[in-house]
Amino acid sequence: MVSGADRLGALPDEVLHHVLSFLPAHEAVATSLLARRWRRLWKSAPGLRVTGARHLGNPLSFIWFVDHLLLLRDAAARLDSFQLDLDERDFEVKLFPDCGPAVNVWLRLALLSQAQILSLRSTCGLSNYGDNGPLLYVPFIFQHLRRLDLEFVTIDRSTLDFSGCPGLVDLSMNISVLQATIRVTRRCYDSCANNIYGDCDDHSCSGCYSSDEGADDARGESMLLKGLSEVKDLELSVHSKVFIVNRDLKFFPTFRKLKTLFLSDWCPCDAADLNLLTYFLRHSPILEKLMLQLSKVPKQGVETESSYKRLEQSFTCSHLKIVEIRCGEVDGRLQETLDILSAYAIPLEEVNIQ
Amino acid sequence: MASAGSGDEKAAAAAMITLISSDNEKFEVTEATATLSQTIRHMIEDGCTDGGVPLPNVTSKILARVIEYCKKHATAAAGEEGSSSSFSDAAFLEVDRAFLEELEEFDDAFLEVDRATLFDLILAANYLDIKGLLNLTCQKVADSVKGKTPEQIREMYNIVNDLTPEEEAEIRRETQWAFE
Repeated sequence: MVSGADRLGALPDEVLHHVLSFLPAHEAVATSLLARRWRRLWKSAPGLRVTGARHLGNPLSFIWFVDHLLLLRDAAARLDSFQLDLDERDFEVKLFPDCGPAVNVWLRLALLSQAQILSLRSTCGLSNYGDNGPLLYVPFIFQHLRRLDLEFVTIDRSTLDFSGCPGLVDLSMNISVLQATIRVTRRCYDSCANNIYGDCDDHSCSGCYSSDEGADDARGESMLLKGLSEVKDLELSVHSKVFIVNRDLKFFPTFRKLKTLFLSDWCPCDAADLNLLTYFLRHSPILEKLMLQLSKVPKQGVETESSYKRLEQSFTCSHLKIVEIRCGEVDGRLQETLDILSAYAIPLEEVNIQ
Repeated sequence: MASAGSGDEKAAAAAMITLISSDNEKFEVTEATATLSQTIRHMIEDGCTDGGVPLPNVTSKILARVIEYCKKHATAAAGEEGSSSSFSDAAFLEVDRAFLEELEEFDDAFLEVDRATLFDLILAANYLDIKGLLNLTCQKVADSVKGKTPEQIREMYNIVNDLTPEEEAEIRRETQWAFE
């Protein structure tokens, strides 16, 4: 082939759309200046990555940018993935709360476009300014979503009510979050210092009793986990005082398709974490692989005796083939973890320690 | 029922398929390797692979590389039956971390090719519908233009700017929202 040939431009449209999906969105738009062939290609890219847009500088320009991105793309082109990186360091002034409503509208648009992969990451909470991350109140309806990745995001309690659409209960076969990574940090309002289920009797506890912030248990149904009933691959880490996950376990969800469970930042001394492990082991009938990453330091969670009951009888996880424990350095907690696993009749010779 | 299913899988894994390149070279591969290509998978399902699968768009040089990729990734793909996303990649697979790292090293080394080969691999991956390979190669092209000005990209890939100054000004106005 002649070295002077334009081999890039000779690729089929669909391949160039694919290439553009890997570029930060503003760079994908900039390719419209390359040549006539490129003028409209970015509009059909199946992936949108809003990342590193530091040249925009202020929140209004940023909102303007993402609005145009979503509205000017070809409405007939499929949108498989939408990634939004909100790095506060890219902006001269704070993004939130000003950007919050816009972020929700964007996610809603992406969901309407049947995106399969949604990712929203912010750096809020990493800085020392006590800034709040984006508050999500988009009801996620999961017909198409395969992967959801949220990082440093404040979550409204109705957001992760994956049962948000009543019809979905019957349509549960269509709900297919196959892989999920959920990190619930201490910023979650649904937290309580007294117990792991968020139903303490202390009326001054804002997590359990405040009507606008806490869970107050009035809904009486599972919020976070219900939508994960079809999940195959789950990574979960929950701050020890946040009760939303354990509270959901009281509604006895079954993870009938779960094959790989990764509990990161997990600690055997924490009642909430122990309860999580036990629950998943008992209610994931085809679980094949369990990974536990021990937290860097022992967690100071909720007192164990009031809420956590160790199971008396053992049970077998017949499909469980691989158990991996990752710990920085060997300390007493490793032995404790092994004791717990052996109490659940998991053969220790199959446990791989890293 | 479960045992019958796994028996079938074993039989399928052992079955061999012959792929024929554009320059008429024959490559014998396992079905597990070949079916990383959705195009070939459909051919197998339709029962039209007897006597070999002719691939008139792929030269033997490129086909050998593609098969090398598929062999390495076939074991990893075994765990991800029924995935439909074009964005699935090795990171999602239920395989050991060590194996994933090895796979990444393999991919990095695999991509150390000249630009002409890279484009041939992209076309082959697209024609054979091998998502992992298409992602890998397209990502490589994207990385190569990342952070470059339009002028730099044109120079790099011999793109002739056929826009009139008026058109260029128009596009700049149309896309102003992305840059200020």
